[in-house]
Amino acid sequence: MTETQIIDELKKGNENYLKYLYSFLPDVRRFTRQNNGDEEDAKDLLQDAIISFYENLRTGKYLQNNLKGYLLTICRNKWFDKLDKLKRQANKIKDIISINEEAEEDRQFEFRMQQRSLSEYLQDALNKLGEPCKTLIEATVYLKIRMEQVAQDYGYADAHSARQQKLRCLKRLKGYTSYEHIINLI
Amino acid sequence: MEEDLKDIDLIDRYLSNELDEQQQQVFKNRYLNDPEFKKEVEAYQKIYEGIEKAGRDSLKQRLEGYYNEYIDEDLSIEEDHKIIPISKWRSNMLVISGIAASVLLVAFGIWYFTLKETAPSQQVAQAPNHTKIDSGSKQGQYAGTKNNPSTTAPVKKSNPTLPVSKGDQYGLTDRGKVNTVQVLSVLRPGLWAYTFKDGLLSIYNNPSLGMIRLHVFKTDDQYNLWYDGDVYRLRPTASIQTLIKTGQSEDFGTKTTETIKVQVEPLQASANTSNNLTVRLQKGDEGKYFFQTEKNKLILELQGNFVPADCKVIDVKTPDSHNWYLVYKSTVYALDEKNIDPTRLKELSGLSSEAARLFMKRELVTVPVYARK
Repeated sequence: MTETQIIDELKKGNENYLKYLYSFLPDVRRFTRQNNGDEEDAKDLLQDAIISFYENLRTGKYLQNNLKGYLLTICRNKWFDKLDKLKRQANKIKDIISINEEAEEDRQFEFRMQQRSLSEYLQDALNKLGEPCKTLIEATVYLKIRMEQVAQDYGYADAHSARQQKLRCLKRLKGYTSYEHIINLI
Repeated sequence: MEEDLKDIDLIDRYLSNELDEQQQQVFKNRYLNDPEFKKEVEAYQKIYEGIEKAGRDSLKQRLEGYYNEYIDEDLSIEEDHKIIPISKWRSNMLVISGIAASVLLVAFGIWYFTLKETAPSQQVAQAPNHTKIDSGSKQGQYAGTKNNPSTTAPVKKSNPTLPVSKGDQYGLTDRGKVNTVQVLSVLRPGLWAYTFKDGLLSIYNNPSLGMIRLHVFKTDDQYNLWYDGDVYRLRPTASIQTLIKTGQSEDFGTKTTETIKVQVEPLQASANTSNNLTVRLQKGDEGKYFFQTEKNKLILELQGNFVPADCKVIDVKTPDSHNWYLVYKSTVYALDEKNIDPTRLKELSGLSSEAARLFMKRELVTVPVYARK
């Protein structure tokens, strides 16, 4: 499997070709080892980089021709961002008394729990919506693929009819929830 | 734009950053002066945010799976335009059991004597490897095509009633089993049927059923299915039973904390084996097919990169028509019996073809059980 083949397949939406990108894992591991990280960090970093790459590719924002370099650069940037954040947090913690710290942790936990629930609610709602809506909405709202492309990929007459279908799906999706319900999910 | 979609059209363009200056002004005015519209915008904003989060989260979950595949398969990316090294094939060969290996040897012998035209070493390398994406399209093609009448195929022992496929060597999978393509037929519309066991309700013969209109409710200890105002009785059963309508009601009671799982089965789950068609599958990079008749028997000549065990050819019969489909894993192709010359396989998208959606495996859904007096 070559890089060009993989990118061609991914562009067509054959997402399972993403598995090949894990073959860069040893390179990421080498990098984290040299920079105070471990194997788990390497896997998480590469996973995030693959997601960024795939989102960009599907949206047409990936214009490079060096996949490995691209992914490793994302990993690098993400890793140094994270180290910076940890450093800043460490400094902050020194200044704050422990009670505040606990309260902050509680808030963070609560925040994360709620954060899961908006995502989870939408996952459930999209499943309930079923096909073709689910794929259409994921393709256009999450991956932001252009309507012309969507129409071509999914066999609609033209961008307009694909868009009509998308809007009908969104309307149905919204029908599952109320303002009061959705607005309170985080 | 349809009238009832106008607002959402505007909101979608706003959220996708597609409004020009003038439209933005229109949007802003409404947003400030129309509280209902404002709420609508806020709700959609939240939904869009959720779709992105959900999309990313489910991609993350799927990546875990791809990671495991990477671990299992030891994948690597080659430099562009390089030939795949043979070492990969060797490592695969080692894991094949002794029995399978001996089957392969016999098979190799047959091929060698029947397919002298092509380089035998390439064919051997192909066999254990053909499910791998990285090699399937690279190496030698099988001979034994339609245009090669000198090729004789070995006799398949497992199913002597079927004429032997010219691409029979392909039927040998890397597990050493001989497979043929299953031919099924199904009537539409069929009677609804179900199985109901251990909290799992599977529904057959209605693959396009809308989950939103379906509810399960209990009266005393008896489970019932409510669909669009019709009530059907559910009895615990592990074998497929016809759903029998017992009445009509607008009321399906009140929600309880109990839940059950519902699986809407794809059409092929309730199809019967058919012998109206013989399928001859041969290997090839390009998916092609044609129909022909031999001794009053209908034959489907199929070429493609398919694993026979994962192929199903399905005849969908309605009162006034019948159509052939090829279902390969989750991909659906329409087959037109009128094509008697090699024709490119036409893939149906679940997004655009209702027929394709009939064959797609749907997600298992958890639904609440309602209770009614």
